[in-house]
Amino acid sequence: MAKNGKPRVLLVKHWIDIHDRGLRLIASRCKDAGFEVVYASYSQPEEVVKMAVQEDVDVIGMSFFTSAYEAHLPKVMDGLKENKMEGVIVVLGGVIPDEDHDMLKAKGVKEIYGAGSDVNQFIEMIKREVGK
Amino acid sequence: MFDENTLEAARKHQEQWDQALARYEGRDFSSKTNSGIPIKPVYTPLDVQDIDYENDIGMVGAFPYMRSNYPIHYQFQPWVNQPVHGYGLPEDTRERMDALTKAGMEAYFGARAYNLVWDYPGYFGIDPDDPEAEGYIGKDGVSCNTDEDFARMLDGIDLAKNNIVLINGDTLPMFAIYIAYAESRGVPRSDLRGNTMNWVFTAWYAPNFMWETEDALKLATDNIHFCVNQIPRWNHTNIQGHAISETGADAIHQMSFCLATAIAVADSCKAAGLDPNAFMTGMGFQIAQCNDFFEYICMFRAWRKLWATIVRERYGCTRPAAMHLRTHTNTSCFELIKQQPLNNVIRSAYHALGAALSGTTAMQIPAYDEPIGIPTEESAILTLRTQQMLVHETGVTRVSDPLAGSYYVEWLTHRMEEEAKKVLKEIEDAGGFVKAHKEGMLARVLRKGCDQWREEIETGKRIVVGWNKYATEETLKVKAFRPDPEVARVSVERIKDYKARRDQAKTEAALNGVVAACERLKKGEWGHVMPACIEAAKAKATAGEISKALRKVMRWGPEYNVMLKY
Repeated sequence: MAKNGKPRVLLVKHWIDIHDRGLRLIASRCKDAGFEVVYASYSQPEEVVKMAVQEDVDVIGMSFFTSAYEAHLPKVMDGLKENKMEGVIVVLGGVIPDEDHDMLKAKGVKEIYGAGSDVNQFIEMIKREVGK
Repeated sequence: MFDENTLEAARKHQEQWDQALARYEGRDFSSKTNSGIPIKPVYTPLDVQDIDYENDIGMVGAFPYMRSNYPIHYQFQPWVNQPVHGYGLPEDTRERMDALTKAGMEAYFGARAYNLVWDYPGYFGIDPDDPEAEGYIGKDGVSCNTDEDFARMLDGIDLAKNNIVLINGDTLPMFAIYIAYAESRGVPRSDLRGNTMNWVFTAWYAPNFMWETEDALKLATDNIHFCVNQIPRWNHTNIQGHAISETGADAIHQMSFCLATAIAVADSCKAAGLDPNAFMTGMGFQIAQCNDFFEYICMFRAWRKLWATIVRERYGCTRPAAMHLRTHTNTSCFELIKQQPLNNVIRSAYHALGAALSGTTAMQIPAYDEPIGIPTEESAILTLRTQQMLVHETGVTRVSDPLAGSYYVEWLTHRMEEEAKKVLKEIEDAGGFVKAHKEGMLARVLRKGCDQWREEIETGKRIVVGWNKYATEETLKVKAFRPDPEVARVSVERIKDYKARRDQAKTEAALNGVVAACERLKKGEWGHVMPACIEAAKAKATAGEISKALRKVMRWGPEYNVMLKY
């Protein structure tokens, strides 16, 4: 958490994963909630880890329009572990079929906020979990 | 529009109606359209008395074409079925093409329009063997990157008869490979028919990347230059209203941002020495038909009139075909939701009905399962059936512009026209579209639209059935469609093999030719980039390689790894 006590949230999307309406909405809601937000694109999953380290974030939100999380998520989780950042909360959003949720949670994803989710639940989760 | 006797009667009826309202004890029954236009509960001749039939409305098939482009429209031929399709390997997509054909997908004169969508790597000019493509190959569109891939997808299809629509972001490289493929089959480029998106300029506000604005406009213009001179029947440019709508624009802003985009492109073409009578016929608009049923119909009518007027007055065009608003309807996607997904079938049917009553010329309907994944064959065919039921069962094709003359529809059409003119003037006053975009004016409107929509749903001001009202525990489980996981491996292998088999020196020389053509374009010499891209494609350069060559000269931006801090 930032020295000023504000949760720090990194929101990312692969630069070719163009449907960003949801992620941008979340960015502005996080800002309204008083969080510090970094909104970024990446071209390789390793960059997500690098940004998380540099920005010392509490939460990473990754958005996917396709099942690219199958390839990207393990790399992000491994990278966090290597950097001793296992405490960072990782959540996913976008078009993520229900049948993948258990698999993703087993890999360490805290929550999945896909199509039809309530943005406020995401905000509440951060307030509840960060700095616990 | 009415004689004094009629108006006198209308005034009398209005008074009687006002008195009849007494029983509702002063309640306010006015409302607003989704764009925020105030609406009364009823309209009468008094509301349209200042609208002049001859100049403001007119006849179908005649200037200002508000009512229809054609004297006879659906009665001669209904709109073109243009469902978007593409996934997996080229041969997987071919299966879907054949399934849709078998299900009766039709374009004009017995032909078909194959509305082919690329996967994200293909969309952005990244080859499958590039590490950046990992996770995205063949997922939400077809992985087609070489002339051999085109052969797997299109062999046996008559390219001079059917429309091949190439939906991808980085237009020129894939178009060049398609032309190289067609010519290898002996079909001269001048015989080809179909569409490129030419979104190099227009797609920036939807996703968060693209060519730097001025360079984008140059590339788009150069593609048009090539088409006008070498493939006159090709629909070179698709002005992307649907993406603008999906990113937060209401009906007024969808229409006016599209018109402003088209003006910027047309101004650039004119400055490049092209004849508006020639290039306007290849310009099309992709239009979203959304939830506010009448507002979107009126938007459509106003849009046809405004465009015809702009084309005639600003560009001096005389050919009717140049003045026609060619439209491809892509019915609303953001209004389809994951909860109670079958409801989406009905929502889309209403959108499609609106588009039919608007007189659209082509249609794509998203499938009900798209909040869950890309469509299955079954859901894709259901979108086609939705169109077929409209054409064959409802009778809406019997009469052109059937809502004309409705006091409400004529009043609202006129109002939409006036509102769009206001936005166009704001953009003009801000120094034109390119400048307004660069300064973030349009992006601000879109962000506000998105946030407002969500807020209205959360506060219950806007009702979405199954989401914030009539919500239920989900019982229907829709299984997401997934392309074969082998697709990525095969696609990577294929492109590596393709690159290994070619004459590398020849390919590299041709790619250098693309770089040189871009340098000429930068100096204001038009018409060299597409021919150089085709030469590169014939020398077996892949789509990703041609894109990279373009990016050596033309500025790609804003930087995709941009970091915004809030």
